[in-house]
Amino acid sequence: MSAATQTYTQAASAATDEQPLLTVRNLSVEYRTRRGIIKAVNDVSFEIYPNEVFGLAGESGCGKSTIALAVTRIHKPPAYITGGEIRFKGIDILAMSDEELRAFRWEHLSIVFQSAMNALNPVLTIGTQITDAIQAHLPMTKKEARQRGIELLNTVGIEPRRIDSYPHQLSGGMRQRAVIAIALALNPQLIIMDEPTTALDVVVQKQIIEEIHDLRERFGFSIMFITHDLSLLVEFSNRIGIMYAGEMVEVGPSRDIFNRPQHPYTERLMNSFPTISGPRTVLKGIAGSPPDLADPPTGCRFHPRCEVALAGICAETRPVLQAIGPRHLAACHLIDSRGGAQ
Amino acid sequence: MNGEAQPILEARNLTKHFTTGGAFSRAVVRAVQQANIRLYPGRVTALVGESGSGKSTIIRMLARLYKPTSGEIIFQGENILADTSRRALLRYRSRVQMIFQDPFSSLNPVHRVFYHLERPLRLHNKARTRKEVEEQVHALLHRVNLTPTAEFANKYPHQLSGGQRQRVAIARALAVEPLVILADEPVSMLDVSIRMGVLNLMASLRDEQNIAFLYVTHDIASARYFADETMVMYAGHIVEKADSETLIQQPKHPYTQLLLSAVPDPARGLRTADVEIVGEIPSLTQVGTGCPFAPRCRHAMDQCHRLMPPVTHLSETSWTRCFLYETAPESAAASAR
Repeated sequence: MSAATQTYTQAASAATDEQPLLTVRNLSVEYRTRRGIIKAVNDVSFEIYPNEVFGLAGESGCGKSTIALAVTRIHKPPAYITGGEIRFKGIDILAMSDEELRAFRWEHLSIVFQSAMNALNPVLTIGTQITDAIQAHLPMTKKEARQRGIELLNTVGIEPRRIDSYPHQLSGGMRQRAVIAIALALNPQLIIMDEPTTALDVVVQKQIIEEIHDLRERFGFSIMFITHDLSLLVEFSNRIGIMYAGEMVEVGPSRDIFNRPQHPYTERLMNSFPTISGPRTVLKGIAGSPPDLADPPTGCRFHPRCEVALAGICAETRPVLQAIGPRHLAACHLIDSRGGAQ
Repeated sequence: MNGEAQPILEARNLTKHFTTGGAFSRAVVRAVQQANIRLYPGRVTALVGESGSGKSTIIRMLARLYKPTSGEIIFQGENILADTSRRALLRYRSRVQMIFQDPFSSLNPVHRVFYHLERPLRLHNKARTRKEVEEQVHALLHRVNLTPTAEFANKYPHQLSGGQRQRVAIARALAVEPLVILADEPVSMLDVSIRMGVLNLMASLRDEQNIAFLYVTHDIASARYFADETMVMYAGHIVEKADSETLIQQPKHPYTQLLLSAVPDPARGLRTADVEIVGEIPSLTQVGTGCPFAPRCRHAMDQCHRLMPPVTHLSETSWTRCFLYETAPESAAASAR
């Protein structure tokens, strides 16, 4: 295909011998609206390896949730996948029939969304919802499925007696635990978590994150973790992909992304939020606003807000992701002019 | 410094109980109990707490949107709750302004930015002629960095980004030349990259126009950045107050310690909380007479379940409500006052 793909594939494979669990290659997704075509995800590539937390960061409207929907193929019109590949252990997700897809979801890959209240059916008990999910995929009797349900609730720290509770009888944190229990029901290898703790208070968030961390150590699944909370993302993820206006601008180990960001957007973003430790410095944020994706800027989509944009290049040519360190890639013309990472 | 300066706005033992339910299921929600707050010119005071802790109820009482169940609100030395006339309310609002969390619903979608700024100017007689109004609208837009001002004055709210809308809301608050701004989660709905711009703008208003701010937030890291002093609220009670940096580096109240150990910190990476997290926030209809945090507190003693600890002063500028510190030697002098 294009030179961009080659650069990316070479860089990614050079960094590791491990086979990725999920491979997303040149994915494009658009929303066909009355206002026109919105290119929500444009030519995005990344992979998720076994036993890692891959964080996807960016501001609202940058396309991170659209990616989550596309990867699980639960996107609905007006969203359309217009190009690229999504493979799970080499199997083409985009080519799966509806039946294959149904079996694939939950068994290999499951999803936890932000609002646990909406993810759970309010008129069914937690127990019914877990046993339904189990019985839909495994040949178990009702009694066996219920027993497994109790075990699962126990795993996520919910007392067994709660199995007969309705969602509204549980606190927000407890509901989110129940959703995680359902996501774990069939031992998937990858769980997509889209803002799983955003609606929760920070103390409850900490409990849930620790719970997820322990579960991952026990079961070894990978997580695609989506959040707008950069402190949490850096703390919890092994690797991070930074998105801007529908494009992946930088991918790398979270320590490097936080301490040595290479893309100007990442660099400014990492200097946009205060933390509770370290020196108190003046944080500037980023001037301007993210672009309208119905009419995105030419060249690098960040160039209108970029203070170090190069005249004659950044507004004209779209930069491609290129390797700048072990498993560290960034899409910025400055990297060429700097001759790679320091 | 605090010892000499007079607070411009003060809450004394401010309490708010809501009654909910019908004839047979009546319950009293003790949203805020005995809150004491002092705001000073040119200082930002943060009020930090989780949802349902009562921080929004306090700010709404101070904005006179809720009537307190008991307690006093003293503005420039006067108890403002005594006079409930419309004239008195208008006079108060011309000095104390509020900024809301949601810039998408606090602006009227059918009116241009110009109208939103013109209205308070005329209502509070800050400008009379068309020319005066125009001049002041442009000055306000300039003050909040919405330039070119002529262009922004003509826009409708839907044509603005979240950050720009919040700047319009700030400009509207500034129109009456307030002495106090009550800001209820002013940046929590904005994108990360534009939050700092709005906080920095408010910090410049504090520094250059000597405005007193009450900054209500659930984000203690932003309180550290923006606020001079921080108060922590739990289940209707303010449990600790100190200079922001002191509070974050040396939290005293066990709840503040719990809260800080739960805040994600990218510099230190994921680790288990220093403080074991047990239980959840109590229902505010079932709070007893003791410390609301006692059921979750690893230091809880007998008396904690029976009595709400009094205020113990730890220094000139800091205090906590916890029996663990009641016998601390520093407190003797302060409590004797």
